[in-house]
Amino acid sequence: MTDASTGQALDLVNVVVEGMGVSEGTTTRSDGLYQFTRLEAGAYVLRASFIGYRLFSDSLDLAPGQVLTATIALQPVETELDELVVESAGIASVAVPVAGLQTIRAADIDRVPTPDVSGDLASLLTTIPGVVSTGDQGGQLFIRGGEPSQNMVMLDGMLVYQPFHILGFYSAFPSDIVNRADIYAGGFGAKFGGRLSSVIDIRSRDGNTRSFAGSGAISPFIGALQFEGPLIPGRVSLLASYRTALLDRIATQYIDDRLPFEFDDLFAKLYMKVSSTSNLSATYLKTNDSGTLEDARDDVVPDEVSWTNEVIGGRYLFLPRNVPVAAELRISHSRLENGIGPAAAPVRTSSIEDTHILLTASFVGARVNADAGMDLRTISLASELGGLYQNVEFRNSRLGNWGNFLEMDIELGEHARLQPSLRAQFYKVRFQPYLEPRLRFVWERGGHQISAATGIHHQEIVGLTDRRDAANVFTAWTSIPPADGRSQSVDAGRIQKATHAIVGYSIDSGRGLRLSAEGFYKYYANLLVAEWTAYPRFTTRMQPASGRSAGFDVRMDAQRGPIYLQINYGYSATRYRAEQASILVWYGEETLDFRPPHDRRHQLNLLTGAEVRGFDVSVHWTYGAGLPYSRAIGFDGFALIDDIVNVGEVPASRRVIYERPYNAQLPGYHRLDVSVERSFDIGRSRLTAQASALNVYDRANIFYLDVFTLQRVDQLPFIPSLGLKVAFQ
Amino acid sequence: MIRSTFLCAVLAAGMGAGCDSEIDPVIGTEQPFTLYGVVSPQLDTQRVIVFPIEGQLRQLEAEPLDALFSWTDTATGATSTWQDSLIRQPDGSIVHMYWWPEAADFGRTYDVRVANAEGVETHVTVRVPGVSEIDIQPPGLTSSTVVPVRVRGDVPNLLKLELEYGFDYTQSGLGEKLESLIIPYGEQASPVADGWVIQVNLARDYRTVLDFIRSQRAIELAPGIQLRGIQIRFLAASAEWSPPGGEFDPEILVQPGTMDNVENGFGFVGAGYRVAHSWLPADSLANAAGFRQ
Repeated sequence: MTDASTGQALDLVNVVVEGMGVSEGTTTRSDGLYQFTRLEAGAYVLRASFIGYRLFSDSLDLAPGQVLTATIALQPVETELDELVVESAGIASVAVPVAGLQTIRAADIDRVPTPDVSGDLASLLTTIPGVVSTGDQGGQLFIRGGEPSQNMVMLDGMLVYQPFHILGFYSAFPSDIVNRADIYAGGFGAKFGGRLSSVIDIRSRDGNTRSFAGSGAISPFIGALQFEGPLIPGRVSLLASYRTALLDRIATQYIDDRLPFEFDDLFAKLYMKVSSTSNLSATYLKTNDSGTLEDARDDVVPDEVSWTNEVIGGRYLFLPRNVPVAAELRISHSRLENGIGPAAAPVRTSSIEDTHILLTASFVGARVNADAGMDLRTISLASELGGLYQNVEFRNSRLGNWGNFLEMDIELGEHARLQPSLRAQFYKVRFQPYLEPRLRFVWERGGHQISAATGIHHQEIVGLTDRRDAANVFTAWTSIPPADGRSQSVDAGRIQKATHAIVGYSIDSGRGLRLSAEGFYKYYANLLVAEWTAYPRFTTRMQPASGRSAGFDVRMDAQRGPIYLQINYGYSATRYRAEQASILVWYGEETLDFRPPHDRRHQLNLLTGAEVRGFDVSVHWTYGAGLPYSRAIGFDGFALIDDIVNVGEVPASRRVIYERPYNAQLPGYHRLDVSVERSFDIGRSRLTAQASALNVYDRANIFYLDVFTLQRVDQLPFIPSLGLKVAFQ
Repeated sequence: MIRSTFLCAVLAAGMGAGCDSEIDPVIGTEQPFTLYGVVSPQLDTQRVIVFPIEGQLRQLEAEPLDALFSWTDTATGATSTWQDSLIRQPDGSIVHMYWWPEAADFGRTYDVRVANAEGVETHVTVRVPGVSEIDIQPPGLTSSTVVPVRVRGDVPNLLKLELEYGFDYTQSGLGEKLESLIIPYGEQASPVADGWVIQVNLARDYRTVLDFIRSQRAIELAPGIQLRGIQIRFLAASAEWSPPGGEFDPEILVQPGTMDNVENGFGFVGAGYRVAHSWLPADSLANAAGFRQ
């Protein structure tokens, strides 16, 4: 099932086949695939319907034993036509949360005010309750209690380790390249393995196989170019996008604050329709980020944080003619390098590299769909941690893991679906597999929807951050040592584990109002967090911990005519319990309960917009409660007195005097962003102009606090912006 | 720039947000100093490192410390004011070390006070253990190879207690070889009325020595292991000199308040002296334990 104008595969299209006394329906999958099995020979009518497209209807004559491939190209409707067009009856927005899953389309992304004309997935993510960002700088997202290293972000099945740009409005995923994004805040199915907390599964568009299209955009924040078109009409297409930050060159000319951020991203996708039953695609993504997070001082060169993602992968999809199964092979390679310190010679560096092979077979039945697959992953990790007040620490490791999964989608009557799945994951730390049963359930009737999800998840790699800094942005990637009898580490063989439970309810009035609520609970066992120490240093020494995160989100979506409104509130409470042996000595308790630094208790978002006389107006106000951090009593020194010694010859080090970890809370975060946009058609081109204002009331939101040097860096101040975009097709 | 307190207040109402964006990341303390040092009759110069407690983490400058360091012998009332020396560490950092060119006396108590310009004092009272004597006693009736070693004297704490066995044996094909092995004995000391008793288990230590030699190289069993001597060593320490679990782990001790005896400040000043005593058990006793003479 494709879009007739672009050749783009369409998913979630309703397809019905009727005749011979039967009427069966299904929806297309992510590649536009649909399938009916065990139909008797005879005459049928095939119908396909999708919002914004003309209704498709055709006859089918099926001979005994025949396997028929029906390729449908739906005609989009751009103007009012006197014919049958499928329209939405409810709210033309958004992402309905279903047991932790929200499916995002490019149109959803474009609703959130951003400093330039083209939208970006990152801006939308921060409007979702339960998603905590480090703010408009830093590029870190925490989802329902999970840390950035516990989130799996994938583009076309390829892992992208640190996909969010240093300026938090932007990610590696501009809306121009996004087909859809499935955001699982928890409770994800068994085809996803190796992460504890959440999955952001982004599928890029295929390039237009019928005609050329492109755009160029510029704003004080970013410049962007995008191009797509057929290399071989109807068969091979290219989609390419490049963006680069312009803040330091344009925005700093008219605002007082320094904005020393550089980033760019390059995306390219080659799509080839090999035959009517197979296609091949190759995707490449590279991102570069760098910037200084501290203000320059007379005597100190500020540290620069930088990271580079590079991912490349291919996908081959094949439908055998003789079995009702779609087979898919993916091969990808991902690499992340990050560092912090002086730009020429960062004192802390870390890298992670990953090669992944995934083989999936999908069966589409009348009432049961099933995906079965296996994946193989090899990972290389390296870190080199130096810096002020510490010696350099090196760590390298190589890992290999293998997973098998089976995911079912069972229709229970007319109103309910059950999605049981099971993953058997083999990690290096032990020979036996880790079994991960998971279950998702949805019931819908008359506008009411009840959904639930639960499951067990494991993760072998660990992303360590120095939690003593508020809003730390450097992650050292490391691994759990295997329990081979030689390791002295208490962490050996203790693979991280999470258990999720989600229950949700939503009601759609059918008259432009939808209310939804969702509660969640996550329990984390065998977590590994950076060891607590009074030494002012960063280390890959780990301490075991457990954690729990619980909360709820409530959300209202309303639309009346051209006006829409979304209000959502999320409450979340996350606590960690550290089990470091020395805690008993230090605090007189065997464990230490604390709020980790991403425990944002309250989050409120108001997103509204309207079309007024040809102008699209968007307003977004967000509030987040302050995050915990460790407040120091003071700073002194330490010397080890362990014998009759001349203390003048004992090495002494600097020390931080803490009361207790995470004993204070940063100020709350809130901000108002506004944008106004209008488009003009000029021949075959469309010019879009956008005026926007970020942080309208100039709130001094804290972004970064180095508790050692007491350096504070705020998020972006009030910034007005004017952006232009020219698109042609 | 627009600063709309009103808008902020309305939108954040009920959320406990407040509009305050200020942050005070260091609580601060009236405690002026952190001290680390050792007081000992075996040192001809007493030394204590002094760190100022500051509101910001920085490397100390090579400049005088605003501190008055006094040392009082509580028995005689004699008070001295110590001098400051700047010590440059291998990493280039500076520490302030105060010193006084005299040995401490056994059994004496000293009062150390360090005052800042406002007169706020950090102080610590240090008591040097009394003189001790080692008494090797004959084995008890219940076990003929366990030798009680008495440490007589006013010694509140025994640290780093260990025995070094000197022995020789015949290595297969290479002839006689002289070696020594240090066996930690921290768990074997018990306090008694006039000091401590250490139960030296010769038979068990013989097996430890034998296992050690066998793990290193082949040994000719016929000549056996000849015991050449035993030295018992320990640190006679003040009562407060007692690390958690008996181990000097810097990762644990670095936490402020851990093995800390300084008042109105942080750190640790210990007092003590080293003790070593050697002896050779009687042939019959060594033979009973497994050694050959």
